[in-house]
Amino acid sequence: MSAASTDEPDERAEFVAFVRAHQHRLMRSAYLICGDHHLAEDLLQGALVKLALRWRQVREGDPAAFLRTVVYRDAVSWWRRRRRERLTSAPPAVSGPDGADDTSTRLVLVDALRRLTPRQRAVLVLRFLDDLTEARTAEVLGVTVGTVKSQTNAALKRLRELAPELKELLHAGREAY
Amino acid sequence: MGIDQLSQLLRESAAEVPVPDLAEAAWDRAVRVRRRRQLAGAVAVSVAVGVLALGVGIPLGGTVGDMGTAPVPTETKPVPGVTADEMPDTPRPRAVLGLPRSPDLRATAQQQLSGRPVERAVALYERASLPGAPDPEPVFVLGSDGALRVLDGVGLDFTVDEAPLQPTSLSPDGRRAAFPQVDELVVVDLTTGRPDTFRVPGFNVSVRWLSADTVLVEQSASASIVDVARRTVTAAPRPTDTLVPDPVFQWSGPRWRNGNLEVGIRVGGPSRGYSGTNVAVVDVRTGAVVRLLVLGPAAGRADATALGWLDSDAVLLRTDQDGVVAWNTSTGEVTSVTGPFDGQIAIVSR
Repeated sequence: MSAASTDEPDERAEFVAFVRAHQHRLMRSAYLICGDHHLAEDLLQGALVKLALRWRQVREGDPAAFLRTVVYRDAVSWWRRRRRERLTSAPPAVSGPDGADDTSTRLVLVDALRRLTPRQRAVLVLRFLDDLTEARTAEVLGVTVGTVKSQTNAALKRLRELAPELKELLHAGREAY
Repeated sequence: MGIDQLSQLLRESAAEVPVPDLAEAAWDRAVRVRRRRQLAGAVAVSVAVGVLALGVGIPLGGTVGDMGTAPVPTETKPVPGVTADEMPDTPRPRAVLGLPRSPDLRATAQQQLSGRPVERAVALYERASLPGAPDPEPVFVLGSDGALRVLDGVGLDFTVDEAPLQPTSLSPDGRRAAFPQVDELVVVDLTTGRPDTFRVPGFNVSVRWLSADTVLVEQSASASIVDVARRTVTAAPRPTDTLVPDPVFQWSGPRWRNGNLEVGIRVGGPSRGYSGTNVAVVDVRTGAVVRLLVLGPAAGRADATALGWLDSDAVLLRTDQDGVVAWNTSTGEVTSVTGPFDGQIAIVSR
């Protein structure tokens, strides 16, 4: 019997505790990237399995960063393949928690987000929901800091164009971009 | 644009998204996947350059006790004098086996295999399935003529948790492909495009070609040998590992034999000196690690797969981040064979 088997109950408990502490934030991020909570759940589940397979290596490092990287890269990868195969730029219909036809501000934002490119969405969610620096965002997405900057600017500009009602609200605070 | 407002809006937009408890299910699934990958690695295919030989102590019709010596332990700590190569950030490109750098794996873009069979396949591809997909992605066949075909005329399903194509699916002569399925083994004659089905009851999880005509099919607690030419299925004892399980490093996926050397992917804890994922070449006579390629802890290189020996010195492997690379175990050079590829690939070495 290998050491892996005798340590497994402890590792499992540790993994479960870690996931339960982080899955809310990751699920929210995945949802904003995909626009569909069922798909977000599938993405997160796939990422969690990858993390579990590497738990012994990653646990002493930064498992949150590992998990975030996998979720984001899988989400961007999924979206690119889906869009290419369907030969259309139309993203999937937004499937929110209640599915209701709601014109609230947050659904306006989600609707506008889905019209961005997958990388633009990922950059916005990483920078402004996950509060990552430009450098960390670049690391997660496997791109340069310059790309993060340009994608962020392009995304915010596009959001303003797509959601004029948000433009007023978003300009009320301190201008950063 | 007010960043504070944007952050607030993003939080509010996703605030009501339900968050199921996925932790335990994810761990349980990973345990199953890990066991299956270790299972696949326990039987190393012995492939000398240009010649196929049996790599395990299971002669056809025999038992494990008839042949083979006791398994040898692997070294758990770095051996003085062992060269550890580092995976470069961007390996130099190199054309190998006619593999395209970016194969076009759209079913609509390629001919069907039944309409254009191959003389011999060089590689099989299957992209990673989209999350939640009910069916696996189609399998593509790269012929020795350089053309891709989509495998048609056969309905493949996921095998427990994984896609049907395995790195060991392609026969050593490149003429057949084997896919483990529940209760059966599907073997496709790539020279005609015709599938054949062999009843092997149970949850078949891995396959290994023992010769051009025989396949070892494994389940978690049993194994069978399918003779494709004679159309027989024979129960066989589970093969014993050629190497003693290591208490620190875990072998992941198939291992490949070349004479007295065996190569495979290992994953281990950071406390043991070689953290993350690495590719290890082991001398099966002593269990000593003779060469290492350190892939490191990067997420994009965590899921690495050894694909086999390209020649007497070079090993092919795949990572999500790099695609297929060739590692020369004599010089340490790593070259890039394909671009990044998210999926499974099986290659036949010459």
